[in-house]
Parts: sequence; C-alpha cells; structure tokens
Amino acid sequence: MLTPLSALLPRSRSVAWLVRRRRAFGVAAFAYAALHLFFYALEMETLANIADELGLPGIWTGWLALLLMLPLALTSNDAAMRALKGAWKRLQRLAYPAAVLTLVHWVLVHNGLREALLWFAPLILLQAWRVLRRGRNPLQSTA
Amino acid sequence: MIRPALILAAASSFAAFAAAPAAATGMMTCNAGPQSGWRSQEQLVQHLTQQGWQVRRTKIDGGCYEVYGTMPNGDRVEAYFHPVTFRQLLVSRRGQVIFRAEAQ
Repeated sequence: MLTPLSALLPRSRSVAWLVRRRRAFGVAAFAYAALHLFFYALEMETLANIADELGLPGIWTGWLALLLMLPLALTSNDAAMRALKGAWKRLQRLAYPAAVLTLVHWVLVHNGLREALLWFAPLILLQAWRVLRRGRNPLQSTA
Repeated sequence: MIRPALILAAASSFAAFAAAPAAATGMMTCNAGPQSGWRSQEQLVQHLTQQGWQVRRTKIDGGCYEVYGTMPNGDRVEAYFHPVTFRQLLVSRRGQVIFRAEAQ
C-alpha cells in the first residue's frame, strides 16, 4: 500500500510519516488478525468445533492468510532483517497473497462484496494504478 | 494527475458506501406484508430453541427474520425465516449455503 502511495505522492509529509511507521502498521495488522482469531475461538468454544469448520472456503482462507502473516510478524525486527538480507524483502511480499486471501475470507464469510470492497478500495486502486503506470514513462506520473 | 486520482478513489469509496443500504444484504427477501402481521422474534427464538437450536442473535434482513445461532447438529449458521410462517428459507454456514427452500 505504501509503495504506490509514496510513488504517487513523493513529497507528501503524511506519506513519509506513514512510511516511517511501516513496521508498526504491519505488526498491528498481525495483532489485529490474532485478536480476531481469539474472538473466533471464543465463539467456537472447542477445538473440535474449529476443526469441523476448517474445510469451509470462508474459513480456511482466513487461516491461510493468518499463517502467511505469521512469518512476516516474526521477522519484523532489525535482527531478522540483517540475518535474512535480500530474502527478507521477498518474504515480506507474502503480504500480497495474505491481503488477497483476507479479502476472499471476508467476502465469503459475510456473503457480500460491498463492504469488503469498500475497505479494500484504497489498496485495490493503488495497486491498479501501480500496474497501469508500469511501462509508461515514470516522469509523467509526477506531472 | 494526482488530485483527480485521489478524488476518484475517495468518490468511489463513498459511492460504494452510499449504495449499500444498511438493512438488506440481498441474501434473501420475504414479501410478508406489513410488520403488524408478523409473529415476534421472541416467538421465533422460542420455536427454534424447542427444536434444539441455540440462538445468538436475531434481526430483520430483506423482510425476513435472520438468525445467528447453532443448529442442533452443532453447526454455527446464519439462517433466514419467514416472519409469518417461520418457514426456514435459507441456511448458510460461514458463507456456504447448506440449505435453500424451494420456491413457493
């Protein structure tokens, strides 16, 4: 989200502010997902109930998204960045499939595109802009 | 080029929001006449509890009663009932439709 945003508004102070806190946003997203799982587990009451639902597309997409976010959260520290070097960036790109799975999870469980798409609109538009811009003269984008 | 893109993004977000009516999800629609002729949600809860359901929440959606609860077999579901006849119209489990009544 912040890569296309900072390309779109390279001189914006608020975007720079967001970019500086990128790690915090990522970790917060994982914490939110973990909390979401906690309340789901409370509602389900038993592990057997949870296992029973695991095969439903609306459910396993959520589990997979969380599973993809786990290594991202675990490597969100300077030591992991140093240890993994170039692989760290590649690993963090798991955020993209995680985002897609989250959207699918949301749409399936709440049987409706509208609300989910509303929240995903900024991300979708920014990524669309990024794809459309690719191949064009990059200097035009700042005009 | 920057401003129009942002305005477009904001406008489309608001358009999507404005177009979404607060009440109806479109999952099911009941044409059950005026609400004065409906049976109460409490009666539906009682009816379902007798059948072994655990009801967590009821509300009106698309002119039907929508129930969040656990069926006698333990499945957590979202189900739609006709507000007059209490006929079961649709049962969905985490977005997967597991029962749909035939059209009357």
